[in-house]
Amino acid sequence: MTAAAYVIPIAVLTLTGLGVLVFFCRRGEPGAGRAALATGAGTAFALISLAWARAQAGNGEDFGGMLLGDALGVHASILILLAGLATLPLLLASLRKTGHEHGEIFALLPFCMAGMMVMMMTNHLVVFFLGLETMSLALYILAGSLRGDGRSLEAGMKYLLTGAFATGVLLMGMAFLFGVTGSFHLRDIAAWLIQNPAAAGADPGGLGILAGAGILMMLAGIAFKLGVVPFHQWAPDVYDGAPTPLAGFMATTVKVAVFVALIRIAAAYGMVRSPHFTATLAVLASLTVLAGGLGALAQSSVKRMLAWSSLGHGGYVLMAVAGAAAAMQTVDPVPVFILHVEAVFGYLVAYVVMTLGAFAVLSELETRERTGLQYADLAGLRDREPALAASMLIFVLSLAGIPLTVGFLAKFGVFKSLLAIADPFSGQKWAMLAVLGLGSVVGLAYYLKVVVMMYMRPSPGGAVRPSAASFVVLAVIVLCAALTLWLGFGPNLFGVGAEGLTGWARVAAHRG
Amino acid sequence: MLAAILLIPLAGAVAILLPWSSERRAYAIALVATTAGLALGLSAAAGFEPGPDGMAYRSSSPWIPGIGASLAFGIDGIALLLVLLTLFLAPITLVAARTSIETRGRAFCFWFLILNFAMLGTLVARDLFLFFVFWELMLIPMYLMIGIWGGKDRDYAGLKFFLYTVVGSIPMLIAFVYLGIKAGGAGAPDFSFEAAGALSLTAGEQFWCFLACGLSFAVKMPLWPFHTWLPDAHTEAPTPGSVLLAGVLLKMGGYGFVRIAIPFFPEGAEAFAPAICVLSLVAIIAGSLAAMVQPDIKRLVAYSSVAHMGAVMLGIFSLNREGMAGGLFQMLAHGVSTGGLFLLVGFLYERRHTRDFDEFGGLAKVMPLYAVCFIFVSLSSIALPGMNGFVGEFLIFAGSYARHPALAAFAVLGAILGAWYMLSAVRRIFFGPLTRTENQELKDLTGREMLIMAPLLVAILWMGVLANTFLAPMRPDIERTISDYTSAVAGPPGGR
Repeated sequence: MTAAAYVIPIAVLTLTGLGVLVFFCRRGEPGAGRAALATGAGTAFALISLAWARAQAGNGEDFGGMLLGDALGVHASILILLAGLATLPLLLASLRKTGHEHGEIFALLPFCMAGMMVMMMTNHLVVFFLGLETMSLALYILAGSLRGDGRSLEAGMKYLLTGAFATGVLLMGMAFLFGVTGSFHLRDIAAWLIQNPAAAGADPGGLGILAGAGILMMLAGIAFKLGVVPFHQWAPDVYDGAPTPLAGFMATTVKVAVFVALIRIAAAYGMVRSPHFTATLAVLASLTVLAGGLGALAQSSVKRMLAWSSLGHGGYVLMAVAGAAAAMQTVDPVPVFILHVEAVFGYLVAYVVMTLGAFAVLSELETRERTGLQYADLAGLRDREPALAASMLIFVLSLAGIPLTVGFLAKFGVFKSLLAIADPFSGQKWAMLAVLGLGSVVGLAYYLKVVVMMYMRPSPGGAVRPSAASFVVLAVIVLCAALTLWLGFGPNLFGVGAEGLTGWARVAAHRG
Repeated sequence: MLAAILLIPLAGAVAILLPWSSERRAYAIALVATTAGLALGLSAAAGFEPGPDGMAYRSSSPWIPGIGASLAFGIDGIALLLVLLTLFLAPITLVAARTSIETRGRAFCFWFLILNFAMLGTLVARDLFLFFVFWELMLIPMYLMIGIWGGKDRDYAGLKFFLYTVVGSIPMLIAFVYLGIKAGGAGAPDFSFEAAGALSLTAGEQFWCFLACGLSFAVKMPLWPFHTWLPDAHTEAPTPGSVLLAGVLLKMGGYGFVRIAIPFFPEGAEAFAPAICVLSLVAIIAGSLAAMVQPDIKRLVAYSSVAHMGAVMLGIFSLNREGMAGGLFQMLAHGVSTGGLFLLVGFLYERRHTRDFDEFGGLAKVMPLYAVCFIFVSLSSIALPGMNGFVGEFLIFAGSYARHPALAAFAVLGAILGAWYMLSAVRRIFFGPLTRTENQELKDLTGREMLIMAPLLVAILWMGVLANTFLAPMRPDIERTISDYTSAVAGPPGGR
């Protein structure tokens, strides 16, 4: 079975989206329950077919190099599909509460996930772009899907305009690279750049500028999607306006997909051994961590705080990517590079679990008027909703990086990989480590504020009581909380545990 | 055996989480857990047979092999005594908590047991990753205790405590990861203590690693000038929280120095020792002077802790047998004495809901038994001969005189200052005319309170008169640490 088998899950997702659009979005359709169910079934089927394809096809390339099936792409796709599955009940509950229960929203999600999968399972820049655009367009619409809600419409519009601009820049950068190297395939690009180091930017004249500008513009476009400084300003507003579970979905899965693609690009371009590339990544990562921390500190809305803190976490992952690029330039690049990719993947898994959980709790606390998301609304939560408060405590401690949670293990992985870089990158490495530490400490200030509100403040007398949580939603939240703890320190239970997490990361990093 | 000692508080905490436990049942579960732990600890002490490297009850099982973390446990004499201190203070504190914690007793018992678990884990861990996990884990329950059940400035105090400690521990994490990677060599990192101890680090590496780890331990200790979190945290914490904070948590800093910083980074220790000794002296003097002007009894005791811990550091960092023995013994002594002081202050607070010196005066007339207990514990804090404080202080002075005679001379001044503020506190509370009418109806120590204080008083006397029971188990380990240190420092640069 060739790698073409990997098209099957993508096709399943696309067909699911089309099917939901045709069958469950008719006029007079009572709510979106059936649409959500159909999407869930489709996603589950895609997951199964992905596992089957992996078992059948293993590693490989197909379609003239446009489809790449390797462990990294597959593992990350599994992560995205699981995140999508978890988001579905949360989204349904949230939409029902706010009165925007539309089937089209559930039709767009599979398209979005299909785009992500395409983006992650390729080494070909045009295919990457196709996947990116599919994902982005779906997200632009989804962000603004709460019709009649000013914030949501603003979010969608903002995302669309800025995102389109960023994508344009990205495309231009890809065009430049194509112009210089003659190929869209990352492997060929890398090979060409290695053979022609002058063109890669080692020499400031001639074609060097074109390739350098190309990669810089690509970086800019990717940085936008990730919410990396200085292209991050859209993120808090968009996450704030979007339906809360969707904000969680966006904050997590988009980062997973784009980071996987970035790793591939960094692996290819890193072979050029350009110190500027490494330095750029390192600086951007550090600035993002700091911006995320400072931004979150200033918020009075928990949802916006989580949005800013997501940016910060993206910065941590970017540090590992920067370290990977730096590793490419040391004497024995491969083991340290793999260590960094492990750190990236481990962090992404941790990040998905804890962020999705945190947004899920917020979504549960939200009321019809889309209030209930300020710090003050959390006051005394442990009296009103002890299970939710305990889960939020776990998520927040994990986001802060307290040991025994998966968040700590993830940060530890980044520490470990950064420290493993040999000279001559000491300066950058220690600077990044210092920023990592600083970001963690600053993060405590706003994460602990949540704890203070929930546990150390009395419940206000006339507190708005959200309607009772549905069983499925609670189950998702508790599962995320349990995973946050278990993946942080637990022994392996059915392959799930702290050691299991490191194992998945290692397999993903070795690409097979 | 060590796993059992660790798991008992954890099991108790889980049991409290179950929906069937009411507040009374929660306290009962916690009491059973802590007493069982104490019993296990005593039997461990009875069967303590150190191996050639001083360790007993060793066990190691892989935890996260991908990272190189293992569940490695083991204790030597020093750790054993600190474990016993922790296990000893726990049930006493819990009984005191029954009346001093007014709301949500169930949650309190839960976090109390988690804190116990974390403290014990720090003492028995023999793996750097595991040690760090437990080190950070101690923060959450303490922070919640201060924040939920504390005094009026508890938000500020709790946050300061948390942030200070975390800022200190990030460099330690970096140092640990660095050591682990180095110990692992080409393969996966190895975080076990053995591997870290076997490394030969350059003098430069030892310097920076000592600084990184030392920062974390110095904040915990606390060493002047990293001490500013302590007065607020101790004052605002609820009584049981203060007892555990002063009695055990502070000792973790000293333990960290003796277990990790000095053995693994001897050249770093030597480089920093003079500075640390000077800072310790400042802590003694400044802490004592600050204690003298406090209007709040609890804050006075908190500052006295700063001074005492300064003395402990002076002892440990004179880096000779007497000094280290004195420092370690004083850690145990301080745990018992200051724990007792905080408990007594708590009893007073439960009666009068104030800790202001001006509110008291002449209490000895109405609460004679309480006065006797308080004066007894104060005298041990002052280091009156016959009490535990004296043994520790004497050894510290002897040790530090051998290294820094001038510093030792000034440190003795600290002892005088200690007597000054403590005795004047006693005078202001207990002696003089009984001016306030609210004080005239105060009840003396109840049976329960006497039950709480009795073991502490006995411990104070036992440590003071028969100090060797407590010094003897530590002696071989101190011997080994000092001789390793001297040979490492005297030998060729770059370690063993």
